[in-house]
Amino acid sequence: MAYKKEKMQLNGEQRKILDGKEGKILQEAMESLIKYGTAMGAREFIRISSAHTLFTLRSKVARCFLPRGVLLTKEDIDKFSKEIIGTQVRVKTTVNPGAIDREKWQQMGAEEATYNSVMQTVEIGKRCGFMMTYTCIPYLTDNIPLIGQHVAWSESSAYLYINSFLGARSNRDSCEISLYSSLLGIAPNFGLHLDENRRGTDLINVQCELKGPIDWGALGYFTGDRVGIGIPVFKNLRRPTTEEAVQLSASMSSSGAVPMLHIVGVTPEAPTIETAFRGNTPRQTYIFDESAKGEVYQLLNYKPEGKVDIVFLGCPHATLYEIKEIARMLEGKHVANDIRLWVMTSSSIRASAEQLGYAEIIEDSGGELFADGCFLCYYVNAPNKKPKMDRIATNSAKQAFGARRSFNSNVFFGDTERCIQIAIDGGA
Amino acid sequence: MAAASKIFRAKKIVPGKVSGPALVTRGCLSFQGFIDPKRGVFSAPVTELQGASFVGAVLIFTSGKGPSVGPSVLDLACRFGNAPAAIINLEIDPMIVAGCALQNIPLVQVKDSGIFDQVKNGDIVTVDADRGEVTISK
Repeated sequence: MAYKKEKMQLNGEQRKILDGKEGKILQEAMESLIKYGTAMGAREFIRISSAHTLFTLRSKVARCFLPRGVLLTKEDIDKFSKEIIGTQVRVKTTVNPGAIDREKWQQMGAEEATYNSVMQTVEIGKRCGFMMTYTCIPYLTDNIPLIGQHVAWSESSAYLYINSFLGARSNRDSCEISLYSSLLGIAPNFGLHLDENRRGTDLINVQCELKGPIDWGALGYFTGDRVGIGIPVFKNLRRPTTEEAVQLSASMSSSGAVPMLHIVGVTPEAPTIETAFRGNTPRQTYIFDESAKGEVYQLLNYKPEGKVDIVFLGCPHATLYEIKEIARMLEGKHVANDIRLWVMTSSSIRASAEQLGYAEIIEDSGGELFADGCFLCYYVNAPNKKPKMDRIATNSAKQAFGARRSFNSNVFFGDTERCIQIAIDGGA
Repeated sequence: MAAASKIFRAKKIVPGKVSGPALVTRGCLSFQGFIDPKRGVFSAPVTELQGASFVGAVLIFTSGKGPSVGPSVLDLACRFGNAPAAIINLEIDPMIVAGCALQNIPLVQVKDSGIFDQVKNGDIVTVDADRGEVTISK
């Protein structure tokens, strides 16, 4: 009985969907959002204006809707794929990187079967109204929310970036949750949708100079690790560039569960330190100084000395500016034979990079500019396709941690310039 | 038994009552990258639980963290028959909540970090989310 009282309030339309009057798929989405919302203490739903979710492989999508706890057969997935085509997203929805590059899948070591499966998923996604962007930085190109908009977004760097730098409102939603939300156009109203939960909880006093995106990645890693679950407020922090803001966001949610941050004078809701905390007393104050920064570099550089197999740039997906800079550094030079240089981005950014001639410079030097995919996501799911990566070099704190965690790789973590120098000099 | 057991107050997040052997870390965890869903074990070299089976265990850790595909990896583990029995967290992360809520795995919040001093791997722990209680039997 007590449980019933805690249940979420539904309007007529939501009740209809829950009763199955709009089909099994939406019913499952509604039931799941109610379970999640109830657990998080939400009392009602709120309308959203966009979503960013995962729609990468048919099996993964099917698993969000078909009975739990049992293995799905190919027939189950085929049948479901036909059913979902009748469903349409209710809001603007972009999708996160998935498996492979839709054009250069062979260079990633993927098989034709994987390519065919991905293209089937793309077709289904398109018919359901998803924008099959396969990018982790939609907030810079294809899906840019405005201040105050309620949205349901997945992807570590993405919800952090849009909450903190754009003033949009998203919880730290998992891929299933944002998928259900995209189909229903609603999200359970709790957490960061509400003013009172967007206040700072911890103070980070920055007492060293941050030199470029990787230092911001290191700061993010430090902050996520210390704060865990909370909203850090940064003091004495200069205004970041866009690329620095992306690295800060991405690394913070690898090491912690931070859904939002405040940089005084940068975050729309934090013109002053008082407005950032709005009455909260900081639980803790952490100092990020040269020695703290050095510790993060030591941690992320795991056995960095020795032969590097792959230099990996573009986590999160490289911006057009980053690609321009990589092309500038590579122009007239050659990537050594015993090493690979991979740059990951989205299809829309690669199209611009091709038009502007940056892609050609990278490819002429022997590097690869991949789109759609994610090195980490793909090889976690296809370990037998994984190229040799006993040691990688990367400019991304998120990737440095991920490669060590998921592939047991040794890692060199350094700035773009040093990573490219490694690619040119060879693996040694 | 009563004398040898220890009871902690807990806040219900996902309902249910279940018992199982404890698997404990003071760290924060994500299912993505930390577990092998097919084998039902922790696989990442960055956790002290590496090699331990989580199947049927009551997982006790500080909180969730990490990427938004975590619940999807837990879903896969459950499909392979490798579900944990319950989860006890000190702080509540939406990723762990989504994972447990969708798989009907009881989840409670115990705010007293003293629980880490009272429980070790293998102790039988009963999670009663509806009564708001966690019982550790020695």
